[in-house]
Amino acid sequence: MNIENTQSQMKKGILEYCILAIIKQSGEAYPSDIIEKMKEARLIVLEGTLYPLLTRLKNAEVLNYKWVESSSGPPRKYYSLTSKGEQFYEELHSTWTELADAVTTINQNTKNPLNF
Amino acid sequence: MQRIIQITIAGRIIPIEDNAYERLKNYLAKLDTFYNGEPGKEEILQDIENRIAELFQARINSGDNVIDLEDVEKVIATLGDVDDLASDQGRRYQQAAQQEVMIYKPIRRRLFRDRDNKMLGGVCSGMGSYFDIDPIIPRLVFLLAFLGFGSGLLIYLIAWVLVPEASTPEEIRAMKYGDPIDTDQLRRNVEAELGELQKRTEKMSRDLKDYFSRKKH
Repeated sequence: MNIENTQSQMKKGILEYCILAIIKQSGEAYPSDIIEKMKEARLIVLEGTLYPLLTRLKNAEVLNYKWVESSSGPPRKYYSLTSKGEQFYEELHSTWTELADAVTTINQNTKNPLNF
Repeated sequence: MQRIIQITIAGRIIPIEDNAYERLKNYLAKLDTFYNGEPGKEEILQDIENRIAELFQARINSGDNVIDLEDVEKVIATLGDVDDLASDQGRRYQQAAQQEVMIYKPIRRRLFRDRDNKMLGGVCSGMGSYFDIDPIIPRLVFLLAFLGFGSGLLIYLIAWVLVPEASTPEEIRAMKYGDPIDTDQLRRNVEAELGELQKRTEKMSRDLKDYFSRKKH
């Protein structure tokens, strides 16, 4: 049993959900904007971790992107949800809500062991 | 003293100090290895190069004439050095590789009753796994033997008693994924099975003897 392994497993599933949530809120998002939003939420992710995830989600047709010219450097990829991605997000969202409720309930029970 | 060279990265021409270039080249090479086996690897590396070019360009736009080692270190910290990326995500690959080695470690195929696919006792589906045939074949044979000679049921019941059920993961593995058997191996397996069968019969007769002798007293 390795704590870092468990932590990264936990983070992995939630990461996809958060990426989709951020893109959905912004409509279109650029990878370093996604990273910024995650940092604000104190979900620290390295950019080098984000790119493979985005590519995987794009290959799964959950995301697509378009090139947008940038004044500060090379053109940027702006990602948005496909219709499949919208559906995918909704499903992840309800799973997350269920899990969060379950964890909250369990933690409450631990605090009051006699309260069934 | 540092030599300044010019590189193109993601279509941008960037002046960079020699040692900074070496560090960058080394980093990109490590990333190349790190993402090996990742679908869309080329695209990921291209995205990363684009991002590096963008960060360098921003540095130059802010008045720096040349990218130095410190700039490269900052960029690497932003994207994540390979060790950090590995602890962020890489453990899974290592683990998967280890598990694979375990699965492919050859094991002797053994006859078990398969409780997950059973009709009665799982004897026939176990035989199906053992001989790599559809379990319908031994089932039909048993049925015919029962209807034709009446002995099918008895043989089946004996097999039910004598053939152990696969209950541990190890046993299920030996039943389903053990080395497929050729005739030579079949002979050896049958010998081994008979040996074990003999042991089990001996144990059973001892148990029965114990049982009856205890009953007498």
